[in-house]
Amino acid sequence: MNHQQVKSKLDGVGCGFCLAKWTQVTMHLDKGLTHSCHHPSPHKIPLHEIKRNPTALHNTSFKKSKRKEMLEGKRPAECNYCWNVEDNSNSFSDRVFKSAEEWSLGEFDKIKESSFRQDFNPKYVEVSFSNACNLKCAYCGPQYSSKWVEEIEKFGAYKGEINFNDIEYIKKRNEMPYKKSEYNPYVEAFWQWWPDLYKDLHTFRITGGEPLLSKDTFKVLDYISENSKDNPNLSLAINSNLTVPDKLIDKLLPKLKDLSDNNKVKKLEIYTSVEAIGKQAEYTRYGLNYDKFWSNIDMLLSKVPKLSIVVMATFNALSVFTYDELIDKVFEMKKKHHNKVRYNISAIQLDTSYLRWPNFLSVKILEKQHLELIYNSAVKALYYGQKQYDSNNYGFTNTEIQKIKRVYDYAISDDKFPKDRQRKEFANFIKQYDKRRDTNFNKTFPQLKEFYATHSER
Amino acid sequence: MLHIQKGNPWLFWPNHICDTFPEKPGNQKLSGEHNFNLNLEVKVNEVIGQKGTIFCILPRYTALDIYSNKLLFTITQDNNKPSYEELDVKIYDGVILKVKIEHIKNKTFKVFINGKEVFNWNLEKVPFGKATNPHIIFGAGNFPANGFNLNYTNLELYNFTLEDDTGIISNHSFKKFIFDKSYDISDNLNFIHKI
Repeated sequence: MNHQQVKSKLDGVGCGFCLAKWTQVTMHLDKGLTHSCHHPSPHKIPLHEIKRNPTALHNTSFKKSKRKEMLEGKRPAECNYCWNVEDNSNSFSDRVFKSAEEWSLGEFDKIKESSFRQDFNPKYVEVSFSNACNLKCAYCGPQYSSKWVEEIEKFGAYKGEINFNDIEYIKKRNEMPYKKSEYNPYVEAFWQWWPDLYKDLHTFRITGGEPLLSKDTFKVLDYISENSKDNPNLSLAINSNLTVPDKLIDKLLPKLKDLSDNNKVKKLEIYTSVEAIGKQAEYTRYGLNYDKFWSNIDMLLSKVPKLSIVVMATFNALSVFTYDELIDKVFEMKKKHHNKVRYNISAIQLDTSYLRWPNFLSVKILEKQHLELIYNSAVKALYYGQKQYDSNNYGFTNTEIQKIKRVYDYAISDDKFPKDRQRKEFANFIKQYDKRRDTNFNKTFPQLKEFYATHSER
Repeated sequence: MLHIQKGNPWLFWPNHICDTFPEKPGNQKLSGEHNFNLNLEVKVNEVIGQKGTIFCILPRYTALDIYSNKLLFTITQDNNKPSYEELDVKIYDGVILKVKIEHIKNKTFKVFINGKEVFNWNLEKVPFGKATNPHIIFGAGNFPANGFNLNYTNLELYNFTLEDDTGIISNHSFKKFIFDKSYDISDNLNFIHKI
């Protein structure tokens, strides 16, 4: 079924009908928040609801009220991202793309005939058990990193035009995560629901924080290992910074091998992150051991041949100088670990997105000559392009190349980005960053020494 | 120099790998909607007794072929009708050919070999065959996966240029290669790659 047909089918129920409201969920258990797709803000899960019904981690009364609107031909206001797309362009909105997934569309009749009050087991689940993390990446924050919480509790928010990573603001928004040591009723509810949820899952993805620092991650792996007969077609994905202590990698490896070698899951992926190389990567992803990161990738791909790794790169102002070398490294791994046994064709993929927030770390603060480096990276990826997308070939895929090029297009796009203001904010942030973390920006980024000095003086 | 072994053809289709980059792929200039000049210098290692294709523009077959120890040029116009002519060029094993093709939209399609005009086709009534995704195969008459009309040839390509009304948009001296792709020294990303 093509996307137009999917849209017509959805519109047959109502102009706001979207299967994702039933079939997908991201549960931030560490914060007690949930949402079905990333466009509407996550909402708080009422504790009294999960007490009597653990599926309320997904089937909250709030979400049910939105499902009711959808079934009655209304458009929930929280989904306005899609309504904007549909009303102002000829493009299909994510409502269509998300509903068109085969594991989602297959539930169409069941959902259409259901009452909005009915609980529904989702097919695609992302879960964050904890914000415990051993890194504090420059563009991250206390909601997703316990290391950031420690820093902000010690030094306070970064001072600037808008105080960056202010815990008081996060508390006000009710987004402060439970500490790892605290009792978390949402995690308890998850485990009550899990045996029933697991059977119906198409994809399960564990995010964080750093999931390998959470005992719940290993509990999930053990459960799947013991109960795989209930769902042998599961796609399992785990996020990890792959720079955790060795003992955790040593603990993970045999579990992955068991799931993979014994076909206990259909697809196995690790999502990790890096967006520069060497010292520059370590500066931005504070706490990262760059060499260890790649040796872990190399080892995991060698020992678990069916595993795929996705490197999610948040391309920011500090990525430009070494991104082309990162492309070389990814290419080297693609070549080395190319095989015909994994579910995904690529051993490793570079999934590049541009950073939007915080604005002062965006590529848009940079000078024109810096932006050309982004273009050169896209050119390199193009020359490393995969001539045909099949298991006989390796290289960068159409999508990987396009996403790098998109960063350049974004960087040079003419919009109302307040460059001067954000450059000053950047310099202000770096000054505090170096002082708090005992880092040396000028030594790590000699290419931006003059830029930093110029905007520090203003 | 690019040595194209028999059975291992190369392809000029720069937007085949990524459909949005390069933004102005050179192969689109062969769509029948533009004027273009194509120049290449090629050594044909085996000619005698061979049936082979030196290069062809697809999907509507326009090609320089070897047949019965002679050179043939085939053009396919927009009525989908192929026409061919035997060229007055002496060939032998190891012959070096300097080929120039000149397409003037809706007017003429000319072929020069070693500086001499050997083919002149009038396009005033029927234009050159239009195509949305044209491309050139060097050393074969089709994609190996298609399994027919392959006519593999053993070649050495010394240079290749493609010009449109703005100037050179693809330029290869075949000195720099990246991952089975010949680097386009015009910096327009119009590379040639191994199939």
